[in-house]
Amino acid sequence: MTDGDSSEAARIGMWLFLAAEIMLFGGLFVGFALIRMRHEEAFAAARLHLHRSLGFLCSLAMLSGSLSIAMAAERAKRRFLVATLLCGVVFLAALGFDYASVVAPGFRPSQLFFGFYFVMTGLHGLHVLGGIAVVAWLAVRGYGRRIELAGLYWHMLTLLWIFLFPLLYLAA
Amino acid sequence: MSVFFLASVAVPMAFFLWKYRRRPGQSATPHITGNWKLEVAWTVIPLVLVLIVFTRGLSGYLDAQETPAQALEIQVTAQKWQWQFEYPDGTESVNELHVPVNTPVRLMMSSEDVIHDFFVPDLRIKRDVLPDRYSQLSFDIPQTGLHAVECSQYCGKGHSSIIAKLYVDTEPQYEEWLKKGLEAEKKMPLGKLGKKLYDTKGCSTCHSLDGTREDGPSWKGLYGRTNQMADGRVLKVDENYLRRAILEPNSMLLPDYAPLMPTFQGSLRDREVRALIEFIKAQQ
Amino acid sequence: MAARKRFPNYLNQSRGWRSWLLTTDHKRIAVMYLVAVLTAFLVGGIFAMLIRIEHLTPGQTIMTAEQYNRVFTMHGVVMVFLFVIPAIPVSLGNFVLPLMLGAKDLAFPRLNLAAFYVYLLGALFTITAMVTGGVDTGWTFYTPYSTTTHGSVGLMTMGLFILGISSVITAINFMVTIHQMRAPGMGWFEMPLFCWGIYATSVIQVLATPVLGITLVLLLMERVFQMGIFDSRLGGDPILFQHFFWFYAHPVVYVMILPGMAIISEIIPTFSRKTIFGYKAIAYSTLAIAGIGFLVWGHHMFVAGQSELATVIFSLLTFLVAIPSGVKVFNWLATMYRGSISFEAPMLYAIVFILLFGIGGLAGLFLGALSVDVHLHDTYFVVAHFHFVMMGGTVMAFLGGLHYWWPKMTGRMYSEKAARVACALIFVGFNMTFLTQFVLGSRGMPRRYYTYLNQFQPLHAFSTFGSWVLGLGLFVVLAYLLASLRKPMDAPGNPWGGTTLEWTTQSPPLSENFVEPPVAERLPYDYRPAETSA
Repeated sequence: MTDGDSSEAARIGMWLFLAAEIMLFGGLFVGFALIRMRHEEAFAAARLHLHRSLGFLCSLAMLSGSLSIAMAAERAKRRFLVATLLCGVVFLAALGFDYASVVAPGFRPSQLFFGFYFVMTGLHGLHVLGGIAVVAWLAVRGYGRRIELAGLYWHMLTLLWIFLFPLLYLAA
Repeated sequence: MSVFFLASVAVPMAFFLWKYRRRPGQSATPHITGNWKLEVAWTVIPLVLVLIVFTRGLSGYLDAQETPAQALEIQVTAQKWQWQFEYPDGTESVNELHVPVNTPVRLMMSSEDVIHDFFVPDLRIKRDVLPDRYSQLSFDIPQTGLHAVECSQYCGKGHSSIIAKLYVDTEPQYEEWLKKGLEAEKKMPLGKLGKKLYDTKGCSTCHSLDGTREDGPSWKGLYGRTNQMADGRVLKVDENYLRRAILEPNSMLLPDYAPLMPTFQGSLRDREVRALIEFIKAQQ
Repeated sequence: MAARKRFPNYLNQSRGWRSWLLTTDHKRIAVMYLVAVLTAFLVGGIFAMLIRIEHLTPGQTIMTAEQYNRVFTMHGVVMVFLFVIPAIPVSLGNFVLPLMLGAKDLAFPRLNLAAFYVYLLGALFTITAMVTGGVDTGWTFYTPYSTTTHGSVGLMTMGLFILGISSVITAINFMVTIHQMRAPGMGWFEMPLFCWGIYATSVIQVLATPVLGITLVLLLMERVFQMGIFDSRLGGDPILFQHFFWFYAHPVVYVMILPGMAIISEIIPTFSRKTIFGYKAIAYSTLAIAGIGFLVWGHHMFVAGQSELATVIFSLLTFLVAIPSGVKVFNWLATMYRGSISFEAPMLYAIVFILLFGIGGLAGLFLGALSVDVHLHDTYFVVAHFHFVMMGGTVMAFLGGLHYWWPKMTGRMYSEKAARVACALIFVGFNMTFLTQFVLGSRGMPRRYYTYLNQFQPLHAFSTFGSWVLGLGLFVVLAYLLASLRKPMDAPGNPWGGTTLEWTTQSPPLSENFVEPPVAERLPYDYRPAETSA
């Protein structure tokens, strides 16, 4: 197999992996939508306890990360990878602050809305953590075509967040 | 009809296997790669056949879903591990359902805990029974008789032993049974009623009478004892203790027992609670 | 006997335990997987025997109700997740797929090894759950029972999640291999049908398994945090769990059968020495089964309380999914027509498959018919149905494939006489065990029942005797297959006269599979003499 073939293989593999991830989150989205239909008011009330500003910051971080990783693929300069890393860290920090502000007054996963909130953002956050690890590894070890693949992964996470954010943080 | 389908595969196969078995010296075969007309034929014909089966199944199903406006409504409560029935006049029975023959009956069912399923094989009726929701089952039985009611949604240890009896009675038999039910209970002395409830309300599943520790404490020697509760209180087991334990078990947790007991609030009449207390007192 | 030939092959080209445990050779990984899934089959089989012994008498025979509930759950979980779902793809598929495509290995060999270890990890969690208290929820984990019962449900859930990851990795590997690594000259409609089966199976695995994953996560959240999504008292819905679960679990039964059907598509042309009839029809029907299979999950819930409209639509679609399976069977029969048929063990198993899967599939049609299903749902009729398709189908195909590729994998031929005896025992034992259960079910015997009404005892006892015959047959297979390993490696490269690329290599193959990368000059299943092939 020539090098071109193996990178094509890796690309197909990554798209398939992303398809699997979309199905994973898809189940959560569907479950959330169904349960929300039954509890419109309770969910709307619970939502007010989240900090929209932190949510916006998370969105900004993901979008910037997508931009910087796309630039890294284009320009092949390490600084863009570091920028992506920072965006990831900012995202997790913002999420962490929101968690703290929610848990402190006593909201736990044992209430329906917050159960979904923690599972959805938590699962997403774990994937962002994985993304940070991969980008860090690429920054250290050097990269080639593989940055495009990491970029695809990051874009998927950004896309997921674009759906998560309004669903969880913004009023219907 | 499935025999027909099966035969349409098995018979040609047997024939081909016999007719085209490999004979010595002859192993060349014709190179036939396919035939679109055949493909269409054996796609369309089975399709038509299965659609016929589907329609018949559908019409039978829709017929069974129709509920007549005037139906005798009986309340059914499923729990681990028994069936409780309540009739329009307030009579209750456990594991024994009586319905009059040739009368439209509607069961309004719900579960106290996990999903169960009300299944009468003889009559081909079945429906899941869910917690916090009512599911309905309607029927109209043309013949008297006795049938078994089984649970067909796995629900734990007692899943195969919650068998209830369905009696299809004549009208007069049904009326008489209703009368007997209420009166028998009204006349029964408390202790005897308590024993009956112990056997039929599920207490025996978790509370022994001989001192053996099960999911719940044994009733032997229970009355009069002093208990230390899980929250630290020290209480004497008297009538009020027992009443609270029956109706609000989660407020009466013991330190080394799991909080498994369901509440009987609403499923025991006041007299029945007293009967149980009498019975427990007698277990010395 | 001639002196033993010692020629290099994938089994001896490198030595030492590290060369096995750290191998990236798909063939060695396949062998390790084979040992693992056969062990799982044995464990699941022992649980099955225990269940049948318990059913010799109503009431307690050898275990209590709680023990019984754990045993049938464990039987289901081990068989479904540790055996039937992975077995054919990870053992036979892993071994044969690159060879059939003319490739050196899979697209991602290291990922292949990683998936194996992830499988072992998942199996470890599952076994730990079994020995630390067990699980008694049934393999379907319906809420609210599964969220409130005691036992190691959490551990089991995590084990299954990990196993799912392994499945998805392997599926991605297979799909990319088929896309990218076919030999020059081998287009999509020129690769063996086994590859189509593996491909469609992998598509389902990639799309459906994550849904199981998220269902398990939510189940865990419900158990640990009482999140409430499946608890009606907290605002959730236990039926939602059923929808989530069956959205995965129905497509997964096609994961279980498609590889089996793919094997049959290989065996029949070879042992009829005739080209496959309707290649494209079989390929398309494989895709159709995979696609329609995603749309029928509600047929497990006809009496659960979903809306009537949904019930009707699901029933209709369920009937549609039977059609492509029927198309395959007819094409296989047409392949046999005017063929030159020989009856070695692989062909015997293929014939058994067609019969038993046919019966099982027709029973499935009955269950799809609404009015009939009301009576048969959750009875032994369903148990018989899925054992006919999973065991009478998949396991028979697995055994057929195992015998078919055994000389290729080990370089030895098994004893054909012993194989025929075993096949007969298995066929008879299987029918004794499971045909009886159709009758039990239609007479009203519910499933997952510990005790039963006395009238069912004779049928239950007969079924149990059948299970002993079946078990004996399976042990005979194990015995002669192991015995064959002590013989010299003298199997020919192409003992059956197959036309696909794996038969052009030596038996067993070299580590690198082919001395030179092959070019696909002939179509598979082309039995015409060389000069007339296109």
